[in-house]
Amino acid sequence: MESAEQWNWVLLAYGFCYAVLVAYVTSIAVRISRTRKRLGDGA
Amino acid sequence: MISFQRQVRVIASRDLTRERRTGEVLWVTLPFGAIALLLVPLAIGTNAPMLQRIGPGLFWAVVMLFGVLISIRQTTSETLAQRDQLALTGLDPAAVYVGKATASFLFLLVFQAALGVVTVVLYDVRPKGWWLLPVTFVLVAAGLALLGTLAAGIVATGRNAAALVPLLVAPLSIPLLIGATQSLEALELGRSSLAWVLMMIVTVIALAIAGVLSARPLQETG
Amino acid sequence: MNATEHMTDRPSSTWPWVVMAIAGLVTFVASMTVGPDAVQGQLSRIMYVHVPSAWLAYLAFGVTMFASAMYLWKKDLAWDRRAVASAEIGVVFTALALGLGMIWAKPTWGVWWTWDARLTLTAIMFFVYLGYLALRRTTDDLHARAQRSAILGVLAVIQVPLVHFSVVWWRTLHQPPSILKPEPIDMDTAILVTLIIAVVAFTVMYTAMMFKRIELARLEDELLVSEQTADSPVAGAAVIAPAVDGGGA
Repeated sequence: MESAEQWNWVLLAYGFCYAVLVAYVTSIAVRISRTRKRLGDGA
Repeated sequence: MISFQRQVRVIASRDLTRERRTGEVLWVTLPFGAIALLLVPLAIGTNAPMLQRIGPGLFWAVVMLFGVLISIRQTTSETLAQRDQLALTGLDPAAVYVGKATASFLFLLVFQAALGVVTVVLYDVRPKGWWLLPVTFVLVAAGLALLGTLAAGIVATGRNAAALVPLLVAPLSIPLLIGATQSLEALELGRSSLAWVLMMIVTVIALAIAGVLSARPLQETG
Repeated sequence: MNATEHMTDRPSSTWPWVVMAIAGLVTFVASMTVGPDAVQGQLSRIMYVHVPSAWLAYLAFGVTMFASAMYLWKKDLAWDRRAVASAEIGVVFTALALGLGMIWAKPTWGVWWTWDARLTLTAIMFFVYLGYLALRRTTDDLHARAQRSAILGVLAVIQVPLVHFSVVWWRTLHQPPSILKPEPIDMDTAILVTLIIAVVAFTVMYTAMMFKRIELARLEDELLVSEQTADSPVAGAAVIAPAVDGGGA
Protein backbone atom coordinates (compact mmCIF):
# COMPACT_ATOMS: atom_id res chain seq x y z
CA MET A 1 0.00 0.00 0.00
CA GLU A 2 1.31 3.43 -0.90
CA SER A 3 2.20 5.86 1.82
CA ALA A 4 -0.46 8.29 0.59
CA GLU A 5 -3.24 5.72 0.92
CA GLN A 6 -1.96 4.78 4.36
CA TRP A 7 -2.14 8.41 5.42
CA ASN A 8 -5.79 8.44 4.39
CA TRP A 9 -6.52 5.66 6.85
CA VAL A 10 -4.47 7.35 9.56
CA LEU A 11 -6.39 10.59 9.11
CA LEU A 12 -9.68 8.68 9.14
CA ALA A 13 -8.65 7.06 12.42
CA TYR A 14 -7.63 10.32 14.08
CA GLY A 15 -10.64 12.15 12.72
CA PHE A 16 -12.93 9.46 14.11
CA CYS A 17 -11.10 9.40 17.45
CA TYR A 18 -11.11 13.13 18.07
CA ALA A 19 -14.63 13.58 16.74
CA VAL A 20 -15.95 11.02 19.21
CA LEU A 21 -13.97 12.50 22.12
CA VAL A 22 -15.00 16.08 21.36
CA ALA A 23 -18.63 15.04 20.88
CA TYR A 24 -18.69 13.20 24.20
CA VAL A 25 -16.95 15.94 26.13
CA THR A 26 -19.32 18.51 24.61
CA SER A 27 -22.30 16.41 25.62
CA ILE A 28 -21.09 16.40 29.24
CA ALA A 29 -20.71 20.18 29.18
CA VAL A 30 -24.15 20.68 27.65
CA ARG A 31 -25.78 18.31 30.13
CA ILE A 32 -24.07 20.04 33.06
CA SER A 33 -25.24 23.48 31.98
CA ARG A 34 -28.77 22.21 31.28
CA THR A 35 -29.04 20.50 34.66
CA ARG A 36 -27.66 23.55 36.48
CA LYS A 37 -30.26 25.68 34.76
CA ARG A 38 -33.07 23.37 35.76
CA LEU A 39 -31.81 23.30 39.34
CA GLY A 40 -31.54 27.08 39.34
CA ASP A 41 -35.09 27.46 38.02
CA GLY A 42 -36.58 24.95 40.41
CA ALA A 43 -34.84 26.14 43.56
CA MET B 1 -39.96 -21.95 60.57
CA ILE B 2 -40.12 -24.29 57.60
CA SER B 3 -36.88 -25.67 56.22
CA PHE B 4 -34.93 -24.16 53.35
CA GLN B 5 -35.68 -27.12 51.09
CA ARG B 6 -39.37 -26.92 51.85
CA GLN B 7 -39.37 -23.20 51.02
CA VAL B 8 -37.63 -23.94 47.74
CA ARG B 9 -40.24 -26.58 46.92
CA VAL B 10 -43.07 -24.18 47.71
CA ILE B 11 -41.77 -21.52 45.34
CA ALA B 12 -40.86 -23.99 42.61
CA SER B 13 -44.27 -25.65 42.72
CA ARG B 14 -45.89 -22.20 42.58
CA ASP B 15 -44.08 -21.53 39.31
CA LEU B 16 -44.89 -24.99 37.98
CA THR B 17 -48.56 -24.47 38.83
CA ARG B 18 -48.52 -21.13 37.05
CA GLU B 19 -47.06 -22.82 34.00
CA ARG B 20 -49.71 -25.52 34.17
CA ARG B 21 -52.35 -22.81 34.10
CA THR B 22 -50.87 -20.43 31.52
CA GLY B 23 -48.82 -22.89 29.47
CA GLU B 24 -46.49 -20.09 28.46
CA VAL B 25 -43.27 -22.10 28.24
CA LEU B 26 -44.82 -24.99 26.37
CA TRP B 27 -47.07 -23.09 24.00
CA VAL B 28 -45.32 -19.76 23.50
CA THR B 29 -41.60 -19.78 24.28
CA LEU B 30 -40.92 -23.22 22.88
CA PRO B 31 -42.66 -22.57 19.55
CA PHE B 32 -40.82 -19.26 19.35
CA GLY B 33 -37.50 -21.07 19.69
CA ALA B 34 -38.56 -23.65 17.13
CA ILE B 35 -39.54 -20.95 14.66
CA ALA B 36 -36.11 -19.37 15.05
CA LEU B 37 -34.55 -22.67 14.00
CA LEU B 38 -36.93 -22.70 11.04
CA LEU B 39 -36.13 -19.13 10.02
CA VAL B 40 -32.37 -19.51 9.68
CA PRO B 41 -32.32 -21.90 6.70
CA LEU B 42 -34.86 -19.64 5.02
CA ALA B 43 -32.33 -16.85 5.35
CA ILE B 44 -29.04 -18.56 4.61
CA GLY B 45 -30.00 -21.38 2.30
CA THR B 46 -30.89 -25.04 2.67
CA ASN B 47 -27.59 -26.59 1.62
CA ALA B 48 -27.70 -29.81 3.64
CA PRO B 49 -23.99 -30.25 4.54
CA MET B 50 -23.81 -26.60 5.63
CA LEU B 51 -26.90 -26.92 7.79
CA GLN B 52 -25.55 -30.09 9.30
CA ARG B 53 -22.39 -28.25 10.25
CA ILE B 54 -24.05 -25.20 11.77
CA GLY B 55 -26.96 -27.08 13.34
CA PRO B 56 -25.43 -27.84 16.75
CA GLY B 57 -24.02 -24.33 17.21
CA LEU B 58 -27.29 -22.75 16.15
CA PHE B 59 -29.17 -24.98 18.58
CA TRP B 60 -27.09 -23.72 21.51
CA ALA B 61 -27.35 -20.10 20.39
CA VAL B 62 -31.15 -20.36 20.23
CA VAL B 63 -31.21 -22.02 23.68
CA MET B 64 -29.15 -19.15 25.15
CA LEU B 65 -31.09 -16.35 23.50
CA PHE B 66 -34.60 -17.71 23.80
CA GLY B 67 -34.22 -19.76 26.96
CA VAL B 68 -33.81 -16.58 28.95
CA LEU B 69 -37.40 -15.67 28.10
CA ILE B 70 -38.41 -18.38 30.54
CA SER B 71 -36.85 -16.44 33.40
CA ILE B 72 -38.30 -13.18 32.15
CA ARG B 73 -41.85 -14.43 32.54
CA GLN B 74 -41.12 -14.37 36.26
CA THR B 75 -40.40 -10.64 36.15
CA THR B 76 -43.09 -9.49 33.81
CA SER B 77 -45.84 -11.58 35.37
CA GLU B 78 -45.13 -10.36 38.88
CA THR B 79 -46.46 -6.97 39.97
CA LEU B 80 -44.82 -4.80 42.60
CA ALA B 81 -47.60 -5.73 45.03
CA GLN B 82 -46.95 -9.43 44.50
CA ARG B 83 -43.25 -8.94 45.09
CA ASP B 84 -43.91 -7.08 48.31
CA GLN B 85 -46.35 -9.77 49.41
CA LEU B 86 -43.74 -12.45 48.80
CA ALA B 87 -41.25 -10.47 50.86
CA LEU B 88 -43.77 -10.13 53.68
CA THR B 89 -44.30 -13.89 53.88
CA GLY B 90 -40.92 -14.06 55.59
CA LEU B 91 -39.57 -16.67 53.24
CA ASP B 92 -35.79 -16.67 52.95
CA PRO B 93 -34.97 -14.60 49.84
CA ALA B 94 -32.28 -17.11 48.95
CA ALA B 95 -34.90 -19.88 49.03
CA VAL B 96 -37.16 -17.81 46.79
CA TYR B 97 -34.27 -17.38 44.38
CA VAL B 98 -33.37 -21.07 44.37
CA GLY B 99 -37.05 -22.02 44.03
CA LYS B 100 -37.54 -19.78 41.01
CA ALA B 101 -34.29 -20.99 39.47
CA THR B 102 -35.32 -24.62 40.04
CA ALA B 103 -38.58 -24.11 38.18
CA SER B 104 -36.71 -22.37 35.33
CA PHE B 105 -34.19 -25.22 35.31
CA LEU B 106 -36.92 -27.80 34.79
CA PHE B 107 -38.55 -25.74 32.05
CA LEU B 108 -35.19 -25.30 30.33
CA LEU B 109 -34.57 -29.05 30.32
CA VAL B 110 -37.86 -29.56 28.52
CA PHE B 111 -37.07 -26.60 26.25
CA GLN B 112 -33.68 -28.03 25.28
CA ALA B 113 -35.00 -31.54 24.72
CA ALA B 114 -37.81 -30.34 22.46
CA LEU B 115 -35.61 -27.97 20.47
CA GLY B 116 -32.99 -30.71 20.23
CA VAL B 117 -35.48 -32.89 18.45
CA VAL B 118 -36.37 -30.01 16.12
CA THR B 119 -32.68 -29.44 15.36
CA VAL B 120 -32.02 -33.11 14.64
CA VAL B 121 -34.97 -33.14 12.26
CA LEU B 122 -34.49 -29.81 10.43
CA TYR B 123 -30.69 -29.81 10.27
CA ASP B 124 -30.08 -33.55 9.95
CA VAL B 125 -27.72 -33.44 12.91
CA ARG B 126 -26.40 -36.76 14.16
CA PRO B 127 -25.53 -36.16 17.82
CA LYS B 128 -22.64 -38.13 19.17
CA GLY B 129 -21.65 -38.50 22.79
CA TRP B 130 -24.75 -39.97 24.35
CA TRP B 131 -23.25 -39.55 27.79
CA LEU B 132 -22.00 -35.99 27.27
CA LEU B 133 -25.21 -34.60 25.84
CA PRO B 134 -27.30 -35.04 29.02
CA VAL B 135 -24.46 -33.61 31.13
CA THR B 136 -24.26 -30.55 28.87
CA PHE B 137 -28.03 -30.16 28.89
CA VAL B 138 -28.14 -30.22 32.68
CA LEU B 139 -25.25 -27.77 33.09
CA VAL B 140 -26.60 -25.33 30.51
CA ALA B 141 -30.10 -25.49 31.97
CA ALA B 142 -28.75 -24.93 35.49
CA GLY B 143 -26.46 -22.07 34.46
CA LEU B 144 -29.06 -20.32 32.35
CA ALA B 145 -31.74 -20.74 35.03
CA LEU B 146 -29.47 -19.31 37.73
CA LEU B 147 -28.30 -16.47 35.51
CA GLY B 148 -31.76 -15.63 34.16
CA THR B 149 -33.36 -15.63 37.60
CA LEU B 150 -30.57 -13.45 38.96
CA ALA B 151 -30.81 -10.99 36.05
CA ALA B 152 -34.60 -10.88 36.39
CA GLY B 153 -34.13 -10.16 40.09
CA ILE B 154 -31.73 -7.32 39.36
CA VAL B 155 -34.11 -5.70 36.88
CA ALA B 156 -37.21 -6.63 38.93
CA THR B 157 -40.16 -4.37 38.19
CA GLY B 158 -38.09 -1.70 36.50
CA ARG B 159 -38.98 -0.28 33.12
CA ASN B 160 -38.04 -2.14 29.94
CA ALA B 161 -37.60 -5.36 31.87
CA ALA B 162 -38.58 -7.60 28.96
CA ALA B 163 -35.77 -6.41 26.70
CA LEU B 164 -33.22 -5.60 29.37
CA VAL B 165 -32.99 -9.05 30.99
CA PRO B 166 -31.86 -10.77 27.76
CA LEU B 167 -29.35 -7.97 27.20
CA LEU B 168 -27.87 -8.58 30.64
CA VAL B 169 -27.90 -12.36 30.33
CA ALA B 170 -26.43 -12.70 26.83
CA PRO B 171 -22.81 -11.60 27.44
CA LEU B 172 -22.60 -13.45 30.73
CA SER B 173 -23.95 -16.68 29.19
CA ILE B 174 -20.95 -16.93 26.87
CA PRO B 175 -18.93 -19.34 29.06
CA LEU B 176 -21.94 -21.68 28.99
CA LEU B 177 -22.35 -21.31 25.24
CA ILE B 178 -18.68 -21.90 24.48
CA GLY B 179 -18.46 -24.72 27.02
CA ALA B 180 -21.45 -26.54 25.52
CA THR B 181 -20.39 -26.20 21.89
CA GLN B 182 -16.72 -26.92 22.47
CA SER B 183 -17.26 -29.93 24.71
CA LEU B 184 -19.40 -31.60 22.07
CA GLU B 185 -17.06 -30.58 19.27
CA ALA B 186 -14.11 -31.98 21.20
CA LEU B 187 -15.94 -35.27 21.46
CA GLU B 188 -16.52 -35.30 17.69
CA LEU B 189 -12.81 -34.73 17.10
CA GLY B 190 -11.78 -37.39 19.59
CA ARG B 191 -10.38 -34.97 22.14
CA SER B 192 -11.10 -34.63 25.83
CA SER B 193 -14.15 -32.59 26.82
CA LEU B 194 -13.23 -32.53 30.48
CA ALA B 195 -11.82 -29.01 30.57
CA TRP B 196 -14.97 -27.56 29.00
CA VAL B 197 -17.27 -29.50 31.32
CA LEU B 198 -15.24 -28.33 34.31
CA MET B 199 -15.49 -24.74 33.10
CA MET B 200 -19.27 -25.04 32.88
CA ILE B 201 -19.40 -26.55 36.37
CA VAL B 202 -17.34 -23.65 37.73
CA THR B 203 -19.65 -21.18 35.95
CA VAL B 204 -22.76 -22.78 37.43
CA ILE B 205 -21.25 -22.77 40.94
CA ALA B 206 -20.19 -19.12 40.60
CA LEU B 207 -23.67 -18.14 39.43
CA ALA B 208 -25.33 -20.05 42.26
CA ILE B 209 -23.17 -18.31 44.84
CA ALA B 210 -23.75 -14.90 43.25
CA GLY B 211 -27.49 -15.48 43.10
CA VAL B 212 -27.84 -16.66 46.67
CA LEU B 213 -25.66 -13.85 48.05
CA SER B 214 -27.53 -11.11 46.20
CA ALA B 215 -31.01 -12.47 46.96
CA ARG B 216 -31.48 -10.58 50.23
CA PRO B 217 -29.92 -7.26 49.08
CA LEU B 218 -32.14 -7.35 46.00
CA GLN B 219 -35.28 -8.06 47.98
CA GLU B 220 -34.50 -5.22 50.38
CA THR B 221 -33.91 -2.82 47.51
CA GLY B 222 -37.60 -2.50 46.86
CA MET C 1 -20.48 20.22 51.02
CA ASN C 2 -23.08 20.36 53.81
CA ALA C 3 -26.81 19.74 53.59
CA THR C 4 -27.82 23.29 52.84
CA GLU C 5 -25.27 23.92 50.12
CA HIS C 6 -26.26 23.23 46.54
CA MET C 7 -24.12 22.15 43.62
CA THR C 8 -25.18 25.28 41.77
CA ASP C 9 -23.61 27.51 44.45
CA ARG C 10 -20.19 26.49 43.16
CA PRO C 11 -19.09 27.57 39.69
CA SER C 12 -18.36 24.73 37.31
CA SER C 13 -14.60 24.09 37.15
CA THR C 14 -12.92 24.59 33.80
CA TRP C 15 -9.50 23.10 34.43
CA PRO C 16 -10.58 19.57 33.35
CA TRP C 17 -11.47 20.87 29.89
CA VAL C 18 -8.06 22.51 29.59
CA VAL C 19 -6.29 19.36 30.73
CA MET C 20 -8.23 17.24 28.24
CA ALA C 21 -7.37 19.56 25.37
CA ILE C 22 -3.69 19.50 26.29
CA ALA C 23 -3.67 15.71 26.60
CA GLY C 24 -5.35 15.37 23.22
CA LEU C 25 -2.84 17.72 21.65
CA VAL C 26 0.13 15.93 23.20
CA THR C 27 -1.07 12.60 21.82
CA PHE C 28 -1.56 14.05 18.37
CA VAL C 29 1.84 15.71 18.24
CA ALA C 30 3.65 12.68 19.61
CA SER C 31 2.05 10.23 17.21
CA MET C 32 2.56 12.44 14.17
CA THR C 33 6.23 13.21 14.85
CA VAL C 34 7.47 9.70 15.54
CA GLY C 35 8.83 7.75 12.58
CA PRO C 36 6.69 5.12 10.77
CA ASP C 37 7.06 1.44 11.58
CA ALA C 38 9.32 -0.58 9.29
CA VAL C 39 6.67 -3.20 8.52
CA GLN C 40 3.31 -1.41 8.89
CA GLY C 41 4.39 1.98 7.60
CA GLN C 42 2.19 4.93 8.46
CA LEU C 43 -0.62 2.63 9.64
CA SER C 44 1.33 2.05 12.84
CA ARG C 45 0.32 5.56 13.92
CA ILE C 46 -3.21 4.28 14.48
CA MET C 47 -1.80 2.20 17.33
CA TYR C 48 -1.13 5.37 19.32
CA VAL C 49 -4.85 6.03 19.71
CA HIS C 50 -6.12 2.46 19.48
CA VAL C 51 -3.99 0.95 22.23
CA PRO C 52 -4.66 3.75 24.77
CA SER C 53 -8.40 3.53 24.02
CA ALA C 54 -8.38 -0.21 24.69
CA TRP C 55 -6.34 0.32 27.87
CA LEU C 56 -8.81 2.94 29.11
CA ALA C 57 -11.77 0.74 28.21
CA TYR C 58 -10.46 -1.95 30.55
CA LEU C 59 -9.35 0.52 33.23
CA ALA C 60 -12.77 2.22 33.28
CA PHE C 61 -14.42 -1.20 33.54
CA GLY C 62 -12.23 -2.03 36.52
CA VAL C 63 -13.05 1.29 38.20
CA THR C 64 -16.79 0.72 37.69
CA MET C 65 -16.52 -2.71 39.25
CA PHE C 66 -14.47 -1.42 42.18
CA ALA C 67 -16.82 1.50 42.81
CA SER C 68 -19.79 -0.90 42.66
CA ALA C 69 -18.27 -3.09 45.34
CA MET C 70 -17.51 -0.02 47.46
CA TYR C 71 -21.12 1.15 47.17
CA LEU C 72 -22.40 -2.24 48.34
CA TRP C 73 -20.09 -1.96 51.33
CA LYS C 74 -20.44 1.72 52.27
CA LYS C 75 -23.90 2.50 50.80
CA ASP C 76 -22.53 5.95 49.93
CA LEU C 77 -24.04 7.37 46.74
CA ALA C 78 -20.69 9.01 45.91
CA TRP C 79 -19.40 5.56 44.97
CA ASP C 80 -22.45 4.98 42.80
CA ARG C 81 -21.73 8.22 40.95
CA ARG C 82 -18.12 7.16 40.40
CA ALA C 83 -19.34 3.83 39.05
CA VAL C 84 -21.75 5.32 36.52
CA ALA C 85 -19.28 8.02 35.46
CA SER C 86 -16.62 5.43 34.76
CA ALA C 87 -19.14 3.19 32.99
CA GLU C 88 -20.27 5.92 30.61
CA ILE C 89 -16.71 7.01 29.86
CA GLY C 90 -15.82 3.34 29.48
CA VAL C 91 -18.50 2.86 26.81
CA VAL C 92 -17.00 5.72 24.83
CA PHE C 93 -13.47 4.34 25.02
CA THR C 94 -14.66 0.82 24.23
CA ALA C 95 -16.47 2.10 21.14
CA LEU C 96 -13.29 3.98 20.22
CA ALA C 97 -11.13 0.91 20.70
CA LEU C 98 -13.43 -1.18 18.52
CA GLY C 99 -13.82 1.48 15.84
CA LEU C 100 -10.12 2.28 15.66
CA GLY C 101 -9.30 -1.41 15.65
CA MET C 102 -11.58 -1.83 12.64
CA ILE C 103 -10.07 1.16 10.85
CA TRP C 104 -6.62 -0.35 11.42
CA ALA C 105 -7.71 -3.86 10.45
CA LYS C 106 -9.23 -3.00 7.08
CA PRO C 107 -6.06 -1.75 5.33
CA THR C 108 -3.84 -4.20 7.22
CA TRP C 109 -5.76 -7.45 6.84
CA GLY C 110 -8.43 -6.53 4.28
CA VAL C 111 -11.30 -7.25 6.69
CA TRP C 112 -13.10 -5.02 9.20
CA TRP C 113 -13.32 -7.74 11.82
CA THR C 114 -11.48 -10.86 12.88
CA TRP C 115 -12.64 -13.16 15.59
CA ASP C 116 -9.47 -13.07 17.64
CA ALA C 117 -9.86 -13.31 21.40
CA ARG C 118 -9.04 -9.72 22.31
CA LEU C 119 -11.42 -8.14 19.81
CA THR C 120 -14.23 -10.51 20.74
CA LEU C 121 -13.72 -9.87 24.45
CA THR C 122 -13.76 -6.10 23.88
CA ALA C 123 -17.03 -6.42 21.95
CA ILE C 124 -18.54 -8.49 24.77
CA MET C 125 -17.39 -5.90 27.32
CA PHE C 126 -19.12 -3.19 25.26
CA PHE C 127 -22.44 -5.00 25.62
CA VAL C 128 -21.93 -5.59 29.34
CA TYR C 129 -21.43 -1.82 29.75
CA LEU C 130 -24.54 -1.07 27.71
CA GLY C 131 -26.54 -3.44 29.90
CA TYR C 132 -25.24 -1.67 33.00
CA LEU C 133 -26.24 1.76 31.65
CA ALA C 134 -29.62 0.45 30.49
CA LEU C 135 -30.28 -0.94 33.95
CA ARG C 136 -29.79 2.49 35.47
CA ARG C 137 -32.60 3.90 33.36
CA THR C 138 -35.18 1.50 34.77
CA THR C 139 -35.82 3.35 38.01
CA ASP C 140 -35.66 6.86 39.48
CA ASP C 141 -35.17 5.72 43.07
CA LEU C 142 -31.57 6.72 43.80
CA HIS C 143 -30.69 3.99 46.25
CA ALA C 144 -32.59 1.24 44.43
CA ARG C 145 -30.82 2.21 41.23
CA ALA C 146 -27.47 2.30 42.97
CA GLN C 147 -28.02 -1.05 44.69
CA ARG C 148 -29.15 -2.85 41.53
CA SER C 149 -26.35 -1.38 39.41
CA ALA C 150 -23.78 -2.25 42.04
CA ILE C 151 -24.93 -5.85 42.20
CA LEU C 152 -24.76 -6.06 38.41
CA GLY C 153 -21.32 -4.46 38.53
CA VAL C 154 -19.99 -7.05 40.94
CA LEU C 155 -21.69 -9.88 39.04
CA ALA C 156 -19.99 -8.75 35.84
CA VAL C 157 -16.62 -8.89 37.59
CA ILE C 158 -17.22 -12.46 38.73
CA GLN C 159 -17.86 -13.41 35.14
CA VAL C 160 -14.77 -11.70 33.71
CA PRO C 161 -12.30 -14.56 34.28
CA LEU C 162 -14.81 -17.11 33.00
CA VAL C 163 -15.72 -15.14 29.89
CA HIS C 164 -12.04 -14.35 29.28
CA PHE C 165 -10.85 -17.94 29.60
CA SER C 166 -13.67 -19.41 27.56
CA VAL C 167 -13.08 -17.01 24.67
CA VAL C 168 -9.27 -17.35 24.78
CA TRP C 169 -9.40 -21.19 24.86
CA TRP C 170 -11.97 -21.14 22.08
CA ARG C 171 -9.68 -19.03 19.91
CA THR C 172 -6.50 -21.03 20.59
CA LEU C 173 -8.31 -24.05 19.18
CA HIS C 174 -9.48 -22.13 16.14
CA GLN C 175 -6.43 -20.20 15.07
CA PRO C 176 -7.16 -17.90 12.19
CA PRO C 177 -5.23 -18.63 9.00
CA SER C 178 -1.69 -17.30 9.12
CA ILE C 179 -2.44 -14.67 6.50
CA LEU C 180 -4.56 -12.87 9.09
CA LYS C 181 -2.04 -13.09 11.91
CA PRO C 182 -1.04 -9.61 12.96
CA GLU C 183 2.41 -8.51 11.93
CA PRO C 184 4.42 -7.77 15.06
CA ILE C 185 5.32 -4.13 15.40
CA ASP C 186 9.04 -3.64 15.65
CA MET C 187 9.01 -2.11 19.11
CA ASP C 188 12.01 0.17 18.91
CA THR C 189 12.49 2.80 21.62
CA ALA C 190 10.87 5.69 19.76
CA ILE C 191 7.69 3.73 19.15
CA LEU C 192 7.58 2.47 22.73
CA VAL C 193 8.09 5.95 24.17
CA THR C 194 5.36 7.40 21.95
CA LEU C 195 3.00 4.64 22.99
CA ILE C 196 3.69 5.33 26.66
CA ILE C 197 3.13 9.05 26.15
CA ALA C 198 -0.19 8.32 24.44
CA VAL C 199 -1.31 5.93 27.19
CA VAL C 200 -0.42 8.44 29.90
CA ALA C 201 -2.14 11.28 28.02
CA PHE C 202 -5.31 9.21 27.59
CA THR C 203 -5.28 8.26 31.26
CA VAL C 204 -5.03 11.94 32.16
CA MET C 205 -7.94 12.58 29.80
CA TYR C 206 -9.94 9.85 31.53
CA THR C 207 -9.26 11.36 34.94
CA ALA C 208 -10.32 14.83 33.80
CA MET C 209 -13.46 13.38 32.19
CA MET C 210 -14.25 11.59 35.46
CA PHE C 211 -14.18 14.90 37.35
CA LYS C 212 -16.71 16.48 35.02
CA ARG C 213 -18.86 13.38 34.64
CA ILE C 214 -19.07 12.94 38.43
CA GLU C 215 -20.04 16.60 38.71
CA LEU C 216 -22.82 15.93 36.20
CA ALA C 217 -23.94 12.86 38.17
CA ARG C 218 -24.12 14.90 41.39
CA LEU C 219 -26.17 17.58 39.65
CA GLU C 220 -28.53 15.03 38.12
CA ASP C 221 -29.02 13.27 41.46
CA GLU C 222 -29.76 16.62 43.10
CA LEU C 223 -32.26 17.44 40.37
CA LEU C 224 -33.92 14.05 40.78
CA VAL C 225 -34.23 14.54 44.53
CA SER C 226 -35.56 18.07 44.17
CA GLU C 227 -38.17 16.91 41.67
CA GLN C 228 -39.24 14.07 43.91
CA THR C 229 -39.54 16.24 47.01
CA ALA C 230 -41.12 19.23 45.27
CA ASP C 231 -44.25 20.73 46.79
CA SER C 232 -47.28 18.97 45.45
CA PRO C 233 -50.93 19.31 46.46
CA VAL C 234 -51.94 17.37 49.56
CA ALA C 235 -54.01 14.32 48.74
CA GLY C 236 -57.68 15.19 48.90
CA ALA C 237 -57.05 18.92 48.49
CA ALA C 238 -59.62 19.01 45.72
CA VAL C 239 -62.35 18.02 48.14
CA ILE C 240 -63.89 21.09 49.74
CA ALA C 241 -66.44 21.30 52.49
CA PRO C 242 -70.01 21.56 51.20
CA ALA C 243 -71.64 24.95 51.69
CA VAL C 244 -74.43 24.56 54.22
CA ASP C 245 -76.85 27.39 55.08
CA GLY C 246 -77.16 28.47 58.68
CA GLY C 247 -73.91 27.11 60.09
CA GLY C 248 -72.31 23.68 60.47
CA ALA C 249 -73.89 20.23 60.34
